[in-house]
Amino acid sequence: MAGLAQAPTAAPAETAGHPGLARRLWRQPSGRAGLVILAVMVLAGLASLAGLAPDPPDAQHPLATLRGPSAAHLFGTDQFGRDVLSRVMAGTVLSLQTALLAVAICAVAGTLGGVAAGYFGGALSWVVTSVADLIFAVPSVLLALAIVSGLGPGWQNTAIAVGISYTPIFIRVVRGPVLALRQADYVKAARVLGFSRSRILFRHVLPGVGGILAVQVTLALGWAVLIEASLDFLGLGPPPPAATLGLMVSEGTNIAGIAWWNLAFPALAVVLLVLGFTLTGDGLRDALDPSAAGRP
Amino acid sequence: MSVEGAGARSLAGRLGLGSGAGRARAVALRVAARLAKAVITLVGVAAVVFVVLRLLPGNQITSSLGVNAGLLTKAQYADLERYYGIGKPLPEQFGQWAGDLLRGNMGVSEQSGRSVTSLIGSALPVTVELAVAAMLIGLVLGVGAGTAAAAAPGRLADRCARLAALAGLGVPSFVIGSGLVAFLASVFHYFPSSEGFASLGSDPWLNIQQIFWPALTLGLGIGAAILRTARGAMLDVARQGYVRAARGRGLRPGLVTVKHVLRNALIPIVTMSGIQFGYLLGGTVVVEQIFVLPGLGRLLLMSVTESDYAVSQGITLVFALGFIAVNLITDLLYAVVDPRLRS
Repeated sequence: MAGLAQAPTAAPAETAGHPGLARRLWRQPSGRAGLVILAVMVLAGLASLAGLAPDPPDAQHPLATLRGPSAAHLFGTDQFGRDVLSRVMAGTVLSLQTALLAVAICAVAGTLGGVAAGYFGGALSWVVTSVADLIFAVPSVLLALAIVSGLGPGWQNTAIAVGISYTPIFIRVVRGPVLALRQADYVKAARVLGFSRSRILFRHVLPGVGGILAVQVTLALGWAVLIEASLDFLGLGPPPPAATLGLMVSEGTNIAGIAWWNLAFPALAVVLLVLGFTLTGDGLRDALDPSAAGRP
Repeated sequence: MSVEGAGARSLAGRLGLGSGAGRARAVALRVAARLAKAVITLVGVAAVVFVVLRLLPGNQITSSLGVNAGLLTKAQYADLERYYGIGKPLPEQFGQWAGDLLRGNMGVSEQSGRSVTSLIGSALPVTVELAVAAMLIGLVLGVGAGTAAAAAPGRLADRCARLAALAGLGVPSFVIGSGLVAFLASVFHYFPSSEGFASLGSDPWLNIQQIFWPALTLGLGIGAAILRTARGAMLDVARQGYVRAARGRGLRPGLVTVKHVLRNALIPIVTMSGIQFGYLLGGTVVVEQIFVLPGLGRLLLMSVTESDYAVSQGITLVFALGFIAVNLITDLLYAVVDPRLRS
């Protein structure tokens, strides 16, 4: 980031750096593991959306309740005879779409807030950082809990709640580098050349925080999956019979003694989703900051 | 002030109190400024909590009458608004609420009819005990395993510790908790909370059993985060010249690790512990629900699902107060662990 800020030829260096980033990410053991896990989960979700799941997630089979894993039902069936694999696949879709919407909300709001606070300074900066500090002073799970309880159940509302509670982190992460970039020579030059404010912000300042944003977005996705599943687990997400991973873990706990697969597979899916994003985020951070990577 | 000299001083000395009147005054000023900031934040949070709960759709009338609220006449509605104190303009309502709050009156629970202060008073000790126990477990696991990992990077202990940390971060507390409950119940036919909650004073042994498992559930996640931070910070410090010099002088490796490396890696560890405390407060909601503990988290979840505004408002405020207090303590701890911040 510092090298980018000093180099007058920032643009060509950046385009040349992009293909390398994917390869560097793949070379990190954590990045590779994360990408593989995410690929598996995303494929499972896409298969469910395409109707390739073994069974519709809500289809009940009263004659085949609580069957253990078998060739007919790889992950077994639940107390209503529903196929656990199909429900886990549908739950993965719901988790991923909630996390994507939540992170879209906090990344856009947080980046705008952070850039505004860092670039313009003054009263605007004070207002933005004060609001961020206030939201930050309420533990984010509690904030999400309060918001989702007021908005009512539904995956969009969960996404809004999670997005709002994570926005201050994006503001903090973006504001610092933007403060530094404002003084960078190539940004000063752009200002002297008379470029419009929006052109400077979007073409010169924003690309400079792109790497940091990419890492933060990946980590935020993992966090969003975690909070979303926790809210569903507490009964604040979409109501039954919706196939959410959190709800399935909650119901699976009660019957785990006689049907462990009802707890184990949904729990595994949550863990894989969270781990996949966390590992990819870690790998991305190391790939973008070679000095931190490969420590003994 | 040298590191060795600081080691023998009392806590008051470490905070810079009582080492020269001028310095003491400067330190007192700094502490006072930090306290003022904490109070301002608290007032701001109270305002945010108040506004958020009122901006959300629904109010006490709709929550107690449901769809029947639509059948009320204008006069009945106005009467109910007066009864709940929600008809007046928002600033006036906030002033009323803040004034009551300062007198220790947080309102009355719509569902149970008890005062919010007494509800919180009986639930708070459970959550404080749980939080302290979880923090202790997290610190012991995290700093212990982090030190062991950083002492021999790349070796078996380090690999195991890093793998455990990854698992601790990736597995949500509700999954750990559900797994623990299912395991204890199906293998040992044991669920400590089935007998009703026992306070530390009434039945200490049962109380420890009831608190241990939820505290372990939360402590594993905290420990994982502290482990990663401790390991990274200690590896950074271990590359410093004075650590090599200490090894070169022939000091025992264990002594170097604890007195030279860990001692100087404490700042990031303190920071991460403070951050984890916020996570801990949110985590109590989930874990108290799983292990059926009558703490603030469970009370909050109940009040939220029942739209019991006065209770959720009061508990959120108590949680925010705890969070702000911990941030304050974290800032003051920096001065204890880093002598450079005192001069």
